[in-house]
Amino acid sequence: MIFRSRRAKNRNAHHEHELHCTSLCCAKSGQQLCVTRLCGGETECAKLRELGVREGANLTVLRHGSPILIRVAGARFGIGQGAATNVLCDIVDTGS
Amino acid sequence: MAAAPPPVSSPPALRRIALAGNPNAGKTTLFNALTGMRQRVGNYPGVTVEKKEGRARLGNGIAASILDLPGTYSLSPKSPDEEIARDVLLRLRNDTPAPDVVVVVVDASNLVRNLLLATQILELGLPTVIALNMIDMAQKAGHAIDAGALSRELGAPVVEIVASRGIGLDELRAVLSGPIKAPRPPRVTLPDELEGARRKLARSLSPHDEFSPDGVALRLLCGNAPVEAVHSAFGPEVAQMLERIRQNGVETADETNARYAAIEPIVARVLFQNAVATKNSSTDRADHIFAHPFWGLVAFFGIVLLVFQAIYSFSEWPMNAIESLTGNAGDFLSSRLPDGPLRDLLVQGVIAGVGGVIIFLPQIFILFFFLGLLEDSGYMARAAFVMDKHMSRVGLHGRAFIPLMSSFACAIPGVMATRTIDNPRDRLTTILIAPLMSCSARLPVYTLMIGTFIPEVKVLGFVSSRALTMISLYILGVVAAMGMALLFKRTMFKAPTPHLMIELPPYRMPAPRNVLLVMWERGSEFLKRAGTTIFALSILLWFLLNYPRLDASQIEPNATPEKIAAIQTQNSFAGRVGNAIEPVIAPLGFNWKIGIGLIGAMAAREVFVSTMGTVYSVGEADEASKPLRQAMREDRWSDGRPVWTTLTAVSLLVYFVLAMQCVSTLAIVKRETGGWKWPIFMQVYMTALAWLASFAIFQGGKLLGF
Repeated sequence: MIFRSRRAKNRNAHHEHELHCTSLCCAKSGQQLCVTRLCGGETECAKLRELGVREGANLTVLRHGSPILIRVAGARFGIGQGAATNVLCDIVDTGS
Repeated sequence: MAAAPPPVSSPPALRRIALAGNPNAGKTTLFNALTGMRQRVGNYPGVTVEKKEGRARLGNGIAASILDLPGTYSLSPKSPDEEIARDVLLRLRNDTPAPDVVVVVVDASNLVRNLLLATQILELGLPTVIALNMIDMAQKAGHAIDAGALSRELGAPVVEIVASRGIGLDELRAVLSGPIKAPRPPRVTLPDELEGARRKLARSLSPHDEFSPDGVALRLLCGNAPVEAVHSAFGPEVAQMLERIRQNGVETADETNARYAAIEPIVARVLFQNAVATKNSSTDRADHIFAHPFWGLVAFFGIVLLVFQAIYSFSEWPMNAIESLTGNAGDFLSSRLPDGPLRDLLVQGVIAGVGGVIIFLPQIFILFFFLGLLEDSGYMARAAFVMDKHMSRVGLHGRAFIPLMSSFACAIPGVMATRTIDNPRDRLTTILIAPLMSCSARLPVYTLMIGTFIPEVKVLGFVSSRALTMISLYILGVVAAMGMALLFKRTMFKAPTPHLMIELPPYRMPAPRNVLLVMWERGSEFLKRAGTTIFALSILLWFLLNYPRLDASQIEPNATPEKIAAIQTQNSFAGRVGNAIEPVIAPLGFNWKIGIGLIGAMAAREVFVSTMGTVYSVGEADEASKPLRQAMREDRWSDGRPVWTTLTAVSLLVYFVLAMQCVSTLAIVKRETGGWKWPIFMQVYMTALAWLASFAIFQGGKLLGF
């Protein structure tokens, strides 16, 4: 019983985590995200950081799709799907 | 011991100023505003990166030589353009002296990201001025910046400007004409490992008046500076130390985050966000259409259609004017000079050859006017954005579509427009496929062949078979270009399709000065470069088509002037080559006369029609010439078969779609790629492709009984 409730708890936590975590490529229009991790190649991550897409940065998805259109620190960027997949984020505001 | 006073840049008679900044920060607008027409565009030796220099007057009798460095987000380069910015600022290039002063153009509406580069430059220790640009747009977005406080934080003069409207330029000139102290940049706390490596390398750098050893050491470490260049600029000790540190391994990736950590508090102290709604700005509203996956495409094709419509309709009058001007010049010389080789050379070689090039000048001017307009308004980035998904299917970048569209007018501006593509492999691929787009010079050949050999029938009851053939030729070019792009990207330039990361700047009203300067710069460059090459080659081609000359005794006495011209052409070097290559081109259905036409078309495709006129003894001919069409229909092989059939015409049309027959394009490709390797490759692959396709069409058609 105890074991089952712990598993259920873990499942709920994981579900909650999934609700709040996403890869940029899966984000929806209007969502506000906070970048948690960049997991692409070294050059790609360096370029993203230079553009302002860096750990801790808040961004808004203006249009989802491929490429994805985002706004970060007041500037708009088009990010191809490949690069967007490597940007992991927390959902700050679902925008709905 | 008293600390040495910080270096002060006292103004020499000619001050070398470098403009640096992020892409879209308004650097080139400032460069144009400061230099006006006093610009010179070239290439950095050994690379294909454009070098823009200009002269400006700063006041107090001081002149400046201003260098517009390629836009970059940091001094840790990821493309050849960005490498140039690093190398010039770090004095790693022997051909470009280090600047006396650096002006960092900073977009006021995006302070945090722009200060990343600015602080890297400030740390180098060179006298630096911050030009806080687009202050009006920042205010509109609700940002108020305390420029004085920012200047104190950065330890360098900060001048607020709006480069596109000339606001603040007098203040900037005044600052630049006075003495400028070396900056005292804010401290960036680096991770311990990187800090240790920086100190070690800085110790090996000898104290220098112009540079800060700490700043230079950090950039050599994090900026991937090549050891050979470091060796020649800073000596063997520094190069060895750099190599040793790299071999031991040092993590440089955290520099950017460390820098942001230093910048954010500064921006928090100098930037005040007013309560102005930034949502749903006019740019957001426009992007609902222009960046939309479907409507964005519709808008894109609509704009392209408008541009091409404008190119064809607006260029007609000036092109006719140029044509009649060169015609009159030829007539004038013909009437004044005695009959002979000199007259032939000037009229048929020089005037006809150069006239054949400058006739495209109006199209080039108009095309670059519109390209400038689209670039300056911020639309071009949207075009790349919406086309990226489709272009990535053949391994190309979204930006490649614009040069390819330009190539429908002429491959020369198309090749030149590839400069907007950052990735060198993508750029080269785009250059190599651009001439496959059917340019306007092919049109006279298409018209002649289709009008003569394609019967006019209605397909589906209303579509003209001739119009359909014409459209098919254009489509064939596009399909071939996409196929070759795919092939190149999967073989020679094998690399994963680069992920798009493009800034979409806010829409702006284009600055007329910028647009006109781009148009003038590109137009005059075309005239200068292609004009000189085609001038020389026109003379060569004229010589090959006219020499050796036969004596009057070798020609039958009652021959008409057209007949004499035909005999002379057959006997000329080009005629002999035409005969020599007949075995190679006969499988395509071409005889030696068509061979001469193909040789003539090597200079420029449209020359084919006039060469055919000479070869078939009908004198001057154009694409609508009835005697020429008649003569072509009557031409026979030695066994009596007609040379020209519908199949021959289709084979020749396919050859013209796919073959490289334009010396001006080759000359421009040589200039853009920095050598003869790629133009030669282009010539070879396109000729092989054209030969194979024509062979398949002709032999396949024969097998099918056509």
